[in-house]
Amino acid sequence: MIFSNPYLASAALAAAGIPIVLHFFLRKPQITAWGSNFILRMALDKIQRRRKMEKWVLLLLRVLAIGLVGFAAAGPFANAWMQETLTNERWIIIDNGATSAEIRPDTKTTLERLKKEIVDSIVASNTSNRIAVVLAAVPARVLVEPTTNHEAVIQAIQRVLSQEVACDFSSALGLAFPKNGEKNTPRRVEMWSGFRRGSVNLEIPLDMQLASRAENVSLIAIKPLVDQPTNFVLNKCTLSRISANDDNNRQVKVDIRREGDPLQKTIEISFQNTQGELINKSEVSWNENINQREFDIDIQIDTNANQALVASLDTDAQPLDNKLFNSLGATEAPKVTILGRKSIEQDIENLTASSWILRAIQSTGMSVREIDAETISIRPPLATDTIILTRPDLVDQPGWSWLQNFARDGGLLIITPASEVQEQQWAADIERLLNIPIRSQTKTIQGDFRLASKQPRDGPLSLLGAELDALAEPVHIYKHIPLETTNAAARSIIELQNGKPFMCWAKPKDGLGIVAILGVSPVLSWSDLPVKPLMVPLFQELVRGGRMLATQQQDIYTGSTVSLGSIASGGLFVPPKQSGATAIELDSNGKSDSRILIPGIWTLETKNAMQILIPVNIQNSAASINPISENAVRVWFEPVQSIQFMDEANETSKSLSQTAPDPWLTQSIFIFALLCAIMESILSRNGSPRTPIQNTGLTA
Amino acid sequence: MSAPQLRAEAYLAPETLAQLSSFELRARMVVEGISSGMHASPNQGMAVEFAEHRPYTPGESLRHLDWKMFGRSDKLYIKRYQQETSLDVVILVDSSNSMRFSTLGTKSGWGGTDAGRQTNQWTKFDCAAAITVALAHLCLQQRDRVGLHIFSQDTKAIVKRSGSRGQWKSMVQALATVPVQGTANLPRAIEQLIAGLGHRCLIFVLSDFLYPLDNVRDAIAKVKFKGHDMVLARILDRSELQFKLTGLRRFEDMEGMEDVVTEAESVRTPYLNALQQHDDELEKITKSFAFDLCRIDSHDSVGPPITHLLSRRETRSKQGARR
Repeated sequence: MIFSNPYLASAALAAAGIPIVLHFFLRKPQITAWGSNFILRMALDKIQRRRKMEKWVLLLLRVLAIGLVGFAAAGPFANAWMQETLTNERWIIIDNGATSAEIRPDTKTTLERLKKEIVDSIVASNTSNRIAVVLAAVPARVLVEPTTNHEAVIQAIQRVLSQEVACDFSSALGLAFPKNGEKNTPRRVEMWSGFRRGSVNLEIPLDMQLASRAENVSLIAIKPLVDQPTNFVLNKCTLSRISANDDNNRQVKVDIRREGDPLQKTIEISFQNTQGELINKSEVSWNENINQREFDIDIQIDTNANQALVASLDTDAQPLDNKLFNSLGATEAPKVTILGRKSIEQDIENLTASSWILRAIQSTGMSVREIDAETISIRPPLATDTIILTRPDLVDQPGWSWLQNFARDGGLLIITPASEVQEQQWAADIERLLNIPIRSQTKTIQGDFRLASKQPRDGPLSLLGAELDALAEPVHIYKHIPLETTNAAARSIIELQNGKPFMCWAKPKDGLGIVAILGVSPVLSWSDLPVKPLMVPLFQELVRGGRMLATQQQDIYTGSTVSLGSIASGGLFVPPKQSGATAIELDSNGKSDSRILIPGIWTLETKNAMQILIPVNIQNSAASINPISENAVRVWFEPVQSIQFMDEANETSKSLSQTAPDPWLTQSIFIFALLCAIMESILSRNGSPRTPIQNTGLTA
Repeated sequence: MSAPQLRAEAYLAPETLAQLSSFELRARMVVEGISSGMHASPNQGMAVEFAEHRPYTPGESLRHLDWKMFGRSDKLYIKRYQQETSLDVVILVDSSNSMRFSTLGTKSGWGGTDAGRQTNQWTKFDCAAAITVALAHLCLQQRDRVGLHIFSQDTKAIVKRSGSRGQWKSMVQALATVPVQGTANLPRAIEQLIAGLGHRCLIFVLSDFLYPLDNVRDAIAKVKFKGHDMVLARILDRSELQFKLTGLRRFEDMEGMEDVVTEAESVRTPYLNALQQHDDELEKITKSFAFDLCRIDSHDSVGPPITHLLSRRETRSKQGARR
């Protein structure tokens, strides 16, 4: 039971012990000389049993009367009492994810405010309560196992810091809810969070299996923050070459978003390189009509080494989303392997596809070699970053497996149909063989086809821009295999006039590389492409641009594990020096078991002593401090367990200590104490109004 | 220990004398006294009290012929008269330890007994002594013979029956000096008493009767069987009668029974019930043998209970005579 004055309640308990002490220890009988105990013995023999019972009842009533008066005076809480009666354990989940670092108008962070309120509620709670603490930042973990040592709990809570990771209530609830098969004791699970959008990912529902463990759990949450502070978010920074032939000058496309109230302000965005040197700086002006800005900044980089690029904003409401980390790969000459079959044919009409491609890209200084496609499973082409497969019909199953791994681990794979066969059997199963969302058919379509006059602008050929339209226009297609994308992850690079894809590209599922499939074999029997101006820029830029996309690291966000492919096999993932975090070991597949909790420029140290800079960022969605409504929070938790907001739960939104004692309960206890006193009086024959007549004694 | 200086008059208060002066102690049965007195004798003689007529037998003295009867009936009858004789009274006084109990300070002018002298209180034994002295005085006044037996476990002191002038002082002496101690054994005392009684007597028993009554009944039955009259006077202290004690107490038994520790308030009602039950049993015994029971509060004056007893006996005696 909780009291407004717990010390008085303790005193009541102590006072209730007085009758017991008196009863057993302190009462010395008064010695009375008596003529004869003969009559007394007669009386006692008759009432001995009743007297014993009466004695104990009297003692009980005295203890109750004194104790209850004390308890009533101490001011018990009915609600709290009910809560305490029903709840054996109190599990406190603290959201210490990225949004908890939000700076509030009082200059304190959300986490600091929550910690204070939690500590206050613990101090006001019953000292016999068992309290456990769970941190919800990824990976969710139990900070304090259930304990009655409240001082230790408070100290642990005061040491909690905001983490630059998402909040994972699903896992936190999983830790706080009773395990399956565990003794199902009632629990009060409290969620202390600002409930910003970054904390509650409304798109991803909670783990439904939690619902089966929610029996006997009362889920309490504090109310979400409803205000929207002005916050500037670096949404995205992407890098691209300025021109097709210039690797040293890069362009940073910056996407900045503003949340909250419109504010006329100029903010500064600066860029630093690996050494922390300022590369560029830009000012962005905002007015009330603008919520999002995109702009380009040209930067000069050293193309011979892996480079880091850090974009920073002025510190504002959410300090953890003011930096974006990026890296630029070294621009070495691509190593291209053409998988075809060598031919000695010199006749231009009969030149093979590999010969045409070789001619097209050789002039660029790329390192190109040609090997027989049939040998790929026996002697795979190591030390290559781009494979152009012109004879897919010759690749066996192990060969396809190797190619699948190659594309998954970051390689660029370009496939053209084999002009030497009538039916492209490989095409029927290409979606499964390479794990890409692109389908094709075995039969070729013949006719006179033209390329569309307006081609897509994205993908590996994006740098060709409008030039691609002019280059594609004169090309005639006589024969091609129909291509089809099965989902939005696959895109057309070049389209036919009828809108059907002529060339598609996609990343393999869970892979880092690129697979591009051309619907036509670059031979004159299929198309006049080999002799058209498009041929050289098409393959050159396909290799260069495709390689940029392929080698671009998969976005790595805090809170996740890493999967860096075979290049990282057995390597070490080293955190930024100033972070103080420990390096993460990678397994043979380049994956880590532990999660990355620190954003910044990490370094992958491979087994062969290569060092690759890899950026790790906070996911924008995890750091969003956009407000969400009470109802949205309620609905999100509903499938697991209905939540009550703190004030609904016990009308103690701030702390239990501020609750007024329940007058009904206090009065009831007083009345009960009075009844006990009256009963005691009657039983002990003191002041009994119904004294029997014979009690006046005998008269002589 | 030298005997205390005895002032016999200090044992009979003037107000008691005054209260008793108008009463006579009457025997309710016919007694055989050795001197003529005020009590009916089994022997008929020429005393004042007419008894019956009997036909005249020739040769008899004409002195007792009822001439009035002869005048009315023309027959000769001899008048017969009841012979009146003196009464033998024996007072049995309990001097066990329980009789030392008292909650009242000693009365001024009281000569004192062994019990009261030690504690300077008016004990139940003092009360019994005062009653004994008063009764003895009354008996001697009406020329009856009176004797005294003081008992506890055994008979401690005996003052033989006598109607002499010094008898009263002897009794006072015995009461004033006898040690009040031991446990009471009334049946034994009665046995010892009636063994020495030759003819019918009136026996007074002065005791608190705080002991089992089973054996007492048998002893009283013997008294009845022998034809004696008996008066039981129960003397209790007011505190014993009302038990108005409070708090946790250890009751130390004066006669050596095991102590009792109890809350006085909680045991009051059961105590009074038990006392009432014991008293009822005593009354039942006395009634069953047509004896008298007299209840005396030791805090009260001695005179009223005695006068009440005497008047009751006188009334009954007259009623019996009419029948």
